[in-house]
Amino acid sequence: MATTTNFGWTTPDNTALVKDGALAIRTLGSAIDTSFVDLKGGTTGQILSKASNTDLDFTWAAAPTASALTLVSATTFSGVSTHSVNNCFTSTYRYYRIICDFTESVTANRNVFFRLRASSTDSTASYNFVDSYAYNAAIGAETDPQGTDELFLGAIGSSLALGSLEMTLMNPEGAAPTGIHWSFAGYFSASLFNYWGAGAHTASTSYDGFTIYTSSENITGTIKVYGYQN
Amino acid sequence: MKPLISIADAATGDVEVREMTDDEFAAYEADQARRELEEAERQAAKQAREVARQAILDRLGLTEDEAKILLS
Repeated sequence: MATTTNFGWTTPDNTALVKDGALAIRTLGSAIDTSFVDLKGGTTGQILSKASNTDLDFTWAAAPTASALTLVSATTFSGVSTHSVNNCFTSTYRYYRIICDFTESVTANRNVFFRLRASSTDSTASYNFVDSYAYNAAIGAETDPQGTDELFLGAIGSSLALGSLEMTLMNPEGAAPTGIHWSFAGYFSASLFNYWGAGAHTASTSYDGFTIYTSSENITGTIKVYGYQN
Repeated sequence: MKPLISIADAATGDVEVREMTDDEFAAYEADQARRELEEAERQAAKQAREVARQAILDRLGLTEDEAKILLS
């Protein structure tokens, strides 16, 4: 008796009698029906998942929930004084994560700052933060080291012109103060100069973007914004 | 040539790179001037603290190292 290549379902031989055709069709159909029984059932939104390594052994399962972090924006910038990202904070997410790395080639120390932004305009007040820092073996803490009209993130060195930023923002799109936590690994000249800080932008305003910029010179790098799943 | 700025729009994916406008450049220069003033104030305050600290050490007749040992 002939069989199919992949699943071995029985099919009529070329020499089989026509009068046996009905039975042959019924036999083949029943075999297929049995093989695919696991595909029967399920409910709206479910996905098919393997139940074992056995061929055609499936089970219906709940669809996985969305990932914890969703990429909202990914951009690069090169040789600019400021880089803004508009329309990245929406009501879709309450909490956001910003990851940024700077890759420089110029030869001057420079400070890096952050401002929230609404409708393409930077907010220039209400940044209230405390940071701690480690510079070589020295440690310290300071409040609003560069004033409350901007958030001072850290420094990029002249000899080792590198820097990296991690930042978490609490509900920047909400019309309420925005809590912000950040850490910045950077350099002053060729020495490590790291900052950790937290605080709030205390204006009860809804923001849809932000700007990262330097006190002088230019910045080059990559920045990504993620939304935390609600 | 004024400094360059880049503006990315997360909604459309567009990125614009251009020179600062006159208003943006004025704000940029004002920020720099403010930072220089604030830094000068910080340095002045730091220097005043150092002077006061040295005056106290002189009154006590202690060296810097002796003061560190005393306070450690």
